[in-house]
Amino acid sequence: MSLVNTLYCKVCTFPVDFCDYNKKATKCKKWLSENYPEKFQELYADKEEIDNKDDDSVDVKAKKVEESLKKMELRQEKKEKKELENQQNSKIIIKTIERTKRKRSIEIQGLEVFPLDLKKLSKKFSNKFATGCSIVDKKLVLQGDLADDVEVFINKLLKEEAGLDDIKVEKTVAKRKKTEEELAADAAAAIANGTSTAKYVKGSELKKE
Amino acid sequence: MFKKLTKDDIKGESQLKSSLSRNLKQQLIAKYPKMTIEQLDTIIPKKKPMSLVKCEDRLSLYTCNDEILLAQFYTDEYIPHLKFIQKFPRDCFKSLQVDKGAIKFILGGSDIMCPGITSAGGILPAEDIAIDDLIIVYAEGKESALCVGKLKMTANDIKTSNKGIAVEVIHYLGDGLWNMKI
Repeated sequence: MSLVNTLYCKVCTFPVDFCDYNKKATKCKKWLSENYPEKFQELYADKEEIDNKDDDSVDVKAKKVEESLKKMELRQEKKEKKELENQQNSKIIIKTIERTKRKRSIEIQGLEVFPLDLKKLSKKFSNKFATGCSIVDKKLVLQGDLADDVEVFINKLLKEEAGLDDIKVEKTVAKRKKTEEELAADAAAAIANGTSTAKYVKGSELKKE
Repeated sequence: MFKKLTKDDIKGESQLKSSLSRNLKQQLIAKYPKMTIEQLDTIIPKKKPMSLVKCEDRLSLYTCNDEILLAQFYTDEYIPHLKFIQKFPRDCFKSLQVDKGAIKFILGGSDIMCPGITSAGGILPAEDIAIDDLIIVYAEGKESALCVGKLKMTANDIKTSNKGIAVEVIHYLGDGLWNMKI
């Protein structure tokens, strides 16, 4: 006695005969007809015949079930569309944060919208760039000044794993804010000390304008 | 029962001793006499160690080749995964059949009511099945198993009263256990 070989649908993971009870039935059918045309014929050929003959012969009950299934599918499609739009519109922000003078870390924001596992991603990043990578409230924090490399890598990842193209990736530098704070602290110290450093503050303001 | 199972519930994974996996195979054969050791050996090769994944609520999953084969609560009965069941021919397990109308509801996670089994599309097996037996549910016009459940009424009761829950569904297509990947 040998084992039974069951064919599973790649789209919905169900055994192929249960595809029509899934929320993605039309996609499943397309996949099946492309990859296993024989099986497709076997499963759906007689059904179409019944549909073509006349509608009265089909049970009312079966019809009802079919209708409700179609409704479910439509709903699912709408939901998916929305999700895709959401993904297309969302932005990934890569922020460079200066920690000490020449050491920088980067923060990646907005990845949670995509069908990626953050935990796995962090592992991937730390392997790829040989640095520490951690998750801080749905943001990935990478140690090291890697903004450019990460941008390329993320684009590649999204193309491969999610099949998405042209996702906006924005790079920002959060360095200025910190230096200003430091300057303000310097200025405060300068006022306490004398006039020489106070001039320095004025100069920096002029530069900004 | 597995509706809300997710990856976060996994607590740890460990390899199973080969003697334990041998033991497990024998238990399975004792329970389902129509299975053969060759069949089990193709699913669980001797060279490949099985692993035990522990989850919340004393749930343990037995896996091999990254495929979940069996689930178990505490030390209760082994609940076979549907992919495992679908590898075997239909007469290996105690089974029943429901009509087309019931499929949708089962896939939504509801229990099986008597009319789904007693109507024209359903088949209630003649062989004796008792309350609390693990039962595999097939559907009218479909080849593959649809869900695993526990019988809640005797066969006679199902036929005569024809009301209420007949089978409590434990594991069905598309639930948390089905979608879990290790």
